Amino acid sequence: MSTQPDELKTLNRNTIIDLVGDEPDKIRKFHAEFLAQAATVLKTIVQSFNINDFGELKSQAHFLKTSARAVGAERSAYFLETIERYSLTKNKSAIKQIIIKLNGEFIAIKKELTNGEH
Amino acid sequence: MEGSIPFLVTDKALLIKSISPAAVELLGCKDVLGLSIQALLNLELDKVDSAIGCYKNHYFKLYKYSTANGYSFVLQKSNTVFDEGSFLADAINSANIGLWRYNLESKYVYLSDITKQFLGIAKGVQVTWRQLLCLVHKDDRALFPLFFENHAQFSVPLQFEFRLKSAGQKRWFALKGSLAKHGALQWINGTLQDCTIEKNTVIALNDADESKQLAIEAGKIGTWRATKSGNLWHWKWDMLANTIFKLEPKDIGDLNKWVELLHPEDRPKVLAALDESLKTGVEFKQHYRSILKNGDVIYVFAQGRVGKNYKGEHCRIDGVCIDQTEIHKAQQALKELNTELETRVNDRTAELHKTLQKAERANKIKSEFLSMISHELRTPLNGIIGALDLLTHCSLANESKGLVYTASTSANHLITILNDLLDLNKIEAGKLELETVVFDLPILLSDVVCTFSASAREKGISLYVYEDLKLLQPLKGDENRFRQILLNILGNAIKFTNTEGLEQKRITLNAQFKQLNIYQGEITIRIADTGVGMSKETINKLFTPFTQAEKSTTRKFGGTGLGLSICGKLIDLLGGQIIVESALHKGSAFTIKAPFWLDTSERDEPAKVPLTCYIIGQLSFDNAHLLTLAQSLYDVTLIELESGGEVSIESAASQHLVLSCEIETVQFWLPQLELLRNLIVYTDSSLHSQFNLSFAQLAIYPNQPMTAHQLGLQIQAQQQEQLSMDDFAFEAEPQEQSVEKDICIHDILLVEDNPFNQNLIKNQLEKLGFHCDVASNGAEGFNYWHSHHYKLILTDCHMPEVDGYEMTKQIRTEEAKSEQTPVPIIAVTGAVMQGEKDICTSIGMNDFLCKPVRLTDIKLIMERWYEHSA
Repeated sequence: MSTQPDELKTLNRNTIIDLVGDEPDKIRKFHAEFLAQAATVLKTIVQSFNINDFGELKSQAHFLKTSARAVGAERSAYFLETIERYSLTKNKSAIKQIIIKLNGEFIAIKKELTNGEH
Repeated sequence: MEGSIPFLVTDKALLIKSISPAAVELLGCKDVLGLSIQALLNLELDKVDSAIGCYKNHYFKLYKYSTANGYSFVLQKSNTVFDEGSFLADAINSANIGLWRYNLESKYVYLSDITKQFLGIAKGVQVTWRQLLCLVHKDDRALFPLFFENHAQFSVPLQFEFRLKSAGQKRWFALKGSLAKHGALQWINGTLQDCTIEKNTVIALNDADESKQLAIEAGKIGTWRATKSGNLWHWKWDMLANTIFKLEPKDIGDLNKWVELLHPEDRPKVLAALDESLKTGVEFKQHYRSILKNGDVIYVFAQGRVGKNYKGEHCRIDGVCIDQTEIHKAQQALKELNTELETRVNDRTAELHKTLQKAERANKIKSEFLSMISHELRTPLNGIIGALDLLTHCSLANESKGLVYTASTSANHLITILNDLLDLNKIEAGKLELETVVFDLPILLSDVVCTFSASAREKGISLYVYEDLKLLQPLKGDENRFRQILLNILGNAIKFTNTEGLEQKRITLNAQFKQLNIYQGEITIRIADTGVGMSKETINKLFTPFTQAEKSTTRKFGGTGLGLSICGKLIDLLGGQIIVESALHKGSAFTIKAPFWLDTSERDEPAKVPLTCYIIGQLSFDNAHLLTLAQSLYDVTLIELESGGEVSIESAASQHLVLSCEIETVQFWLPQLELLRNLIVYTDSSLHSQFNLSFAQLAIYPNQPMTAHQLGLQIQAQQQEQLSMDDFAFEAEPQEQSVEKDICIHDILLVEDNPFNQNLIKNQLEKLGFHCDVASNGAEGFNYWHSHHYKLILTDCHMPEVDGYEMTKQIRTEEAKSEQTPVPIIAVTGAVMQGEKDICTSIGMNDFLCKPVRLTDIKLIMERWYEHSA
């Protein structure tokens, strides 16, 4: 990823437009689908973390990362990729912090999408 | 000089220069020229104007007159050596009387030395009549010819006063004179006396007298007096007094005329008082009425003082009388008006009292009604809120969700208003009782700050908290009511700082504690914002119920205007105060001071846990404050780290903090920092996001808004190795994720385990006019390929069970066995690792797409592989 971490956006709305075109209904559906997937996968990630299953942790992070990238959840994708990396070295304290931050990002995305609706 | 006058003329040295024939005859000698007159007549003439001399046993009196070149001496035969002239001269000199002589025909003027001194003329100087007049004040010059001529012609006494300037000062002189005749010759001889002091005294006296007279006349004050002669008192009064009583001028001095006018009711007391004064000398002071001849009644005030003679007998009385009829009338009118006003005030007071009672009754009814209706409304409202809450958990269409959100927000707002109303009612009815419970101020503050920190952040408001609670002791009091006040005021600060167009949106909360005495302490919380601010008029009505700053405030910011009213009443109940400072368009500051009881019960102070704190780079203001907070909670070991340093970070402590605002310096120390257990990095709020992303693997927190309690919680949470599922259960609307699977009917196969990506790529293909079958993993993909002819396979690489690589290998192996034309297989992968493409190619994949796949990339792939596929 060539972009510097501090330049990443929580939700880059242009990304999904580049992928499926400027179709708000379809985009809204993809966003909702991503959030639902994120909620589920995050729980799995936490479970894997708590039982030190770093393989599964890496796999789940990778799984969700592609979805995150697709909707323009740049920071989430970055955190997921970092989880993948630290899973290889089984650095639990680092992964813990990233999961916490990832959770914060998902909440921020949800808020951003909710505020966009109202 | 005339020929008949015997005289001698000398020079200045008194040597005789000439002698008149009359002098030759009188002396009986003529060869005297050149002789000294003093030697000739045996006399001393240096400093006197006249002297007695002796010549040939005859005595002569000499009168000396100055001339231009010397002197003239007039001789007069004298019978005795005794000098009457000298005696007179001495007397005149000692009385400082100047002498002068004026010859009416020749206009010759003789002035004595004293006269010359008065007039400021040098001794030897001879002046003419005209020169003399020039010295006189111009306004007084006319007096001279007038008096002199009248005296000479009509024997009018020559006596007047005139002014002249002498030695730079204006002085008064009294001139007297009388006509003297010697044969045909006529002189006027006279005296001149300096009467400046007397004249000025007279002028001052006249001035004072005139001033007094004018004042008396202006005040319409009559004066009266009586003097005792023998046993009789002789009365007199002035015209003003006479006018007051409208008496005739001839009545002046007739006491009976005055007595006749006295009002019959006042007469006895006035006469008795006057008699008493004349007898005893006591001051006479009376207010009385007089009935004038025309029947008018006047009101008079008279006052007089008795004087004594040298024997101490009362011999005179002097006094004044003033007509006070107009004053009396005005007083009377005022009295009547006052009485009328008093009556009206009494009536109004009674009316107000009745209205007040009515209002109190109405207020009581209102309070009871509000209390009842609020309770009644709360029950169904709670039902509504509960139902709406359940609704939000149901699957709803977007439009319905919006409506539920609006209804839920409104219902919650309504509950808040009802709670406020109930509180206000309770306080106004005196039914609110305060609790006294032990509470922890840092926890209370933390609760308040945490309530608003998220909304402040969302609104772009910087919230800063500074606790100075070094002296804090355990407290007892109504924690909830104090919290209510703080929540309300901080909530208002957020509300009124969240305005567009403000240059800076900042709220600062300062907390302090001080011990008042052995039983009490005082908490001071100051909440200052950079919001819209208020005018002085607004501040004055700030704590009045249902009153907001301005009508536009309610429209713009919402609210009922009950919050601050309740705060005002609660702080009164707590015995504290709220001080408001504000400036329109600049912001407001609310200082809340409240006393609380100290909890004196004994308790064990827990020992402070060790904590190592690393300062990396310059310590910012807010990090310095955080360090103070940490030191108040932990046993802190402080280590300062600089960029390029060589310190090896080793710590036995189980908790570590890094305070820094320098990303690069932290980067430098990162390898060593990563080895530390339970590490938290604190940085300024403005740098938090940057730090958070740059050091994703570290716990990064902003140092503001930060309370001591929050700091403790964060450090404590850092020690937990496991994550709680509860903290990660963020709610998301469940979605139908499964992709409609049309098996083996299209000529493109998508192998992808992620339903989101399945949907996305399927969607993208459809947008380009293609349709695909979808398999969820490599095994399923292989089976699909095996049972159907595909022109193109798009496959993810990393999948559970059989991944994309394995599936490709299997397909290529089968194709080789059955000598089939290889189907184009395109890797669609999220992996970005170097060499990924090479791996894909090496195992038989034809091309490579990187996730997320852009429409243009898919289009290219389709053009390249699908269109040309057999």
